[in-house]
Amino acid sequence: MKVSVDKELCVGHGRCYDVAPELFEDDEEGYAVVRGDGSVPPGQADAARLAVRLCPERAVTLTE
Amino acid sequence: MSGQATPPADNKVLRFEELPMAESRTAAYKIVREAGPVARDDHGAYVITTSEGAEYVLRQPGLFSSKRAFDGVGSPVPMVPIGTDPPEHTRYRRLLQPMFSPRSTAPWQPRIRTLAGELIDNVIAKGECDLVADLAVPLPAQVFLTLFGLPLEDRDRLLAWKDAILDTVGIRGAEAPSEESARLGAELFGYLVSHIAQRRQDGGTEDMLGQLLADTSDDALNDEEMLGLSFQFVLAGLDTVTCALSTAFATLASRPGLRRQIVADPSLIPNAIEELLRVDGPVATLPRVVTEDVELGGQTIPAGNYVQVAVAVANRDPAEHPDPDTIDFKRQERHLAFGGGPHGCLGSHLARMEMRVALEEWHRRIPEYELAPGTAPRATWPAGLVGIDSLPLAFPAGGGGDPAAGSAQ
Repeated sequence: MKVSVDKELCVGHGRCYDVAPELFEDDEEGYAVVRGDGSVPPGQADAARLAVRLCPERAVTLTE
Repeated sequence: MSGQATPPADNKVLRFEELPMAESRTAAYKIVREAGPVARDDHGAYVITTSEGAEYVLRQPGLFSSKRAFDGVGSPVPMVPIGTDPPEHTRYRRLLQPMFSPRSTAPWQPRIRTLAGELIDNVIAKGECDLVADLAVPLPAQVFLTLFGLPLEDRDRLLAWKDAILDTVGIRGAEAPSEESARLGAELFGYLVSHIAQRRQDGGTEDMLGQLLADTSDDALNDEEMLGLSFQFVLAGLDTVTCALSTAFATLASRPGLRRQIVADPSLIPNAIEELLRVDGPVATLPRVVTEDVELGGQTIPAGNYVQVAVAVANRDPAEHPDPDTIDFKRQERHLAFGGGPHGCLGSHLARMEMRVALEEWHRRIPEYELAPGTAPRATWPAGLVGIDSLPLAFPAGGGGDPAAGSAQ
């Protein structure tokens, strides 16, 4: 399971790194980047789904 | 304007000015939603009322122009960046984004917390206050002054200019500026010009303005652009937070069940803010101008026409939000209270922080409060933003809470 952020769509709302800080972080400008290679560790699946659901730009995707 | 369609003659036309916004946004937004996914208003604008439609428009700045929609808001210089389109907008945004990022705004939280605490402490002994005049209005103004290195004593002057300018901007936010608004705009500009010039001399990078002025890259803002930004901060960053705080506190004061949830568990506050913004955010509609004929919701919108993106209505779209009119602080759904697409609110992190700090500082000092007897909160309408002008609250003198509780956060 992996998360990714579409750089073209992200405008820096920051919902993903607010609700799933173990999976996402903010860069210097406030845009979202995935931590590491985006792999979702055990116990973080719900946080990953929440980040997908909250992104106003639909820029966060989760692949199984 | 070429290609401007005349309003349709049937009785399905939305009259925003006549919506029952003052009493009930739930009732008002129901009327708008029921007019259809792409409705028409009495100015001839096409009103987008669904979440899907709103997202579609906001993400296509080439087709739906902000520059043309914000021409003439009484600003003597370009509205940077709200009234620009890509690629011009992209450059401004790249410059400003770091200034308003969480990394830049988070260090201001202790200072903003102190400002909020002082404002609440000013009224706590009385056992009554006007939440709007005593907290919702002064807090964002003081935050602006602090971030721009301006003296807090200038607060009331700043507010007077801002009010006078905004009073002349119509509900649609895009009417020709009056002589009065141009004069007041010039006064505010004079104030900002002299401050920026002073700061160029004095240097110092301890605040946001100083950091912008210290940028010597090729992309750095020139003085005119710096003014545009300052002007926009004053017009876009003050009343929005004031209005959001006014409606949030009105809901909490009217609904003890909701209020008690956040008193019992202050960690709910950030999510409660999202929900309060979803159901009753300050922005009802966002204007755009169509640049070429476009097909939307089964109709063709001719180039040159206004589109009003009804984000507040989209935020209650049942397709995206089950049981949309019910306020649920545990709800976790995307919303468009901060807009979306390339123009998505630049100040959202700062606005969220101001609201969070205000709610946290208030509720640990004053956990029990209610609407002052005999009062009922009414939103001001018609208006450019959705907010309440006066919100008298009653609470135990001294507040009754424990101001020290949770102060370490």
